[in-house]
Amino acid sequence: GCSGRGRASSVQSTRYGLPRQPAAASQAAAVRSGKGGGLHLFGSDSCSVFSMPPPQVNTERVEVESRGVNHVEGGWPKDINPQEVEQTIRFRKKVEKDENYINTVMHLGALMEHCVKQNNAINIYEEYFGEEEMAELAGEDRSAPFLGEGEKWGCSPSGLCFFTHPFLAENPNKPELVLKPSSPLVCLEYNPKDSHVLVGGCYNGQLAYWDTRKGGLPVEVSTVEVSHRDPVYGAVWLQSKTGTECFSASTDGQVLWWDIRKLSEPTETLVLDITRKGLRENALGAVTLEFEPTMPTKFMVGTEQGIVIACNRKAKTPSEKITSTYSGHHGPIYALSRNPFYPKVFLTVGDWTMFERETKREKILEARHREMRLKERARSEGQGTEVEERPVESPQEVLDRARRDFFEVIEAELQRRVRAETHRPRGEVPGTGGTGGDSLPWRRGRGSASASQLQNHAGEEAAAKGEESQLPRDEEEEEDAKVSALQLRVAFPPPPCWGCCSSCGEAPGRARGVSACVGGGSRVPDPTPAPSAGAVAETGPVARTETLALVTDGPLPS
Amino acid sequence: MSPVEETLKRIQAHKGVIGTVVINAEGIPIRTTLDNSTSVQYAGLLHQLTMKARSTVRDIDPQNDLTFLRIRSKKHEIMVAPVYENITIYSPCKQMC
Repeated sequence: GCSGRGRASSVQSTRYGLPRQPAAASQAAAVRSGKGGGLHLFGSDSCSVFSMPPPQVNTERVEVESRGVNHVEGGWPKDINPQEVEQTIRFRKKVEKDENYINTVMHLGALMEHCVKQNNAINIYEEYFGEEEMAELAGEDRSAPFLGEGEKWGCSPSGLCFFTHPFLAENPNKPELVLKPSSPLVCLEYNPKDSHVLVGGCYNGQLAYWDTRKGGLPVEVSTVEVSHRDPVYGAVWLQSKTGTECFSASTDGQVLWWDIRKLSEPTETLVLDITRKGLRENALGAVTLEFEPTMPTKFMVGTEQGIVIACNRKAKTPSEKITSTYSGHHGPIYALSRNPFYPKVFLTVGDWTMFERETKREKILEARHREMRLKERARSEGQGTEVEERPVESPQEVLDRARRDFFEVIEAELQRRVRAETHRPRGEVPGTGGTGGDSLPWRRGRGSASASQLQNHAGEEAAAKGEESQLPRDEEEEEDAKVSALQLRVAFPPPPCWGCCSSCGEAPGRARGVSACVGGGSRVPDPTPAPSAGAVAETGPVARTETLALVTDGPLPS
Repeated sequence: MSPVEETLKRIQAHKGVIGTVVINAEGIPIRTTLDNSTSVQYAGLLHQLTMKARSTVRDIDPQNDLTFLRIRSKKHEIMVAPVYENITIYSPCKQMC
């Protein structure tokens, strides 16, 4: 009797015994046995009665039948009738008293509650980004053009390119040299003493320096362990005899001094902790760095908390290194620059406002631009007004003009919403870099920037001119202003129009650079009175006809 | 109130929870906030699915075990916390959006 074993049946039948009754189970299928096979001497039907009694001859037949069962209620122990409510209740109560039951339910309850809370917190399967297309990844967000001495200038997107001066070289579209840092560059500076050397701060906190005569790879890179821990947002060369010193600042709160001949460790460090304890935890993240060659031991750091810290490098103790702080911005300070003529006065730009300050006093000038984004403003090299035929000016006008000439706001909100920065050139041509990675050199229109200029451009903005809150200036400064106004010549086109760049201090006729005139309508009434007479200047031809649109949402205050 | 009741009440009180059923190994709903026929239906269906899921997990890695099972459908989500000795808690719960 070998057959029959293959059939799945829940009932076994012994050879000589009767098949067992199938147990009443809550299984879905009830089976009965039945099968033919085995050694049939007389026929295949177990019901047929032949001469031999079935137990002796035939194998037991197992009949199998498949049936579905509608599981209405099951699992109850035998003695309980599911229909009777009392019995079921009693059974349930009994189960609930079981200690094991209690423990298990508590455990599972916690588990379940966790998941329910998860569900309530957020619907993780929601279609979040269905409507948006994938934005293209533009390279590094900020591209920072820097001008070097001479003609070349470079801008750094994630890699680095160099462009030669478009007015001097033949092919402005092709970079002359591509520098390849190991990590994207955030800032870049030419060495003022050696125009072939640049130092750049990397996104990973290292500092690298290049020699353009030696090719595109950095000559040396600072070691990671001693470098910054955050992107290096500011790297500035120092005036030193060797011309090899620079310092860098980053949002990790440190300012490090380096000698580029030995970038394996910084020569000096400073932690920007304004409580003067030198604790790294309290340190503010530095975003901009300012250093004026005329004051070699002092420098200023603009932080991302909106505070400007003035520091003295040569202080005896680290706690005295930080001399003073100036707060007032609500957001990171995007740009910081001193007035080259009045080093005590500096300008900070951040979070839609711009402050001009004395190092001892607070805000001389506060300009509020509500939705403008100021990226950088440069200071003009030339200041003052043009030589005028009219000798007499009211002090107020002189003041205004001089003050206006002290700074410019470079706004770069090009029509294509390209964010740009311009940098005041030590050389001649300022440049603007855009977020798209393009960079535009600007050529300045010939013209002087007298105050009337502001109104001459049709509908131009005098954006930075919210001169509502002005503190009176020093007598002395006023005198200076007057004097300089009469003596110096103006060199640059009107400010806060977008993309105006400072002049190179040459006579207007030879000035090169650009002013991008804002063609857009002015929403800010120019607050300053136009000095009449004599202050006529030509608006020279603008090399680039790009119009920068002023993107504001609200009217700028006058 | 017994801690069991408190726990179950707490779960039931959460936003979006439609019902809670505690089921023992034999498939009997011990405590439920739904009606009897629904509870019994859930008991029968979910038990098999949970067993299957558990055996899947353990087949792939014998050291592993199923801790929780979520079945998300268009209208609801059923969350099953299984315990392999005696009890499971099934909690049909509305999907949050």
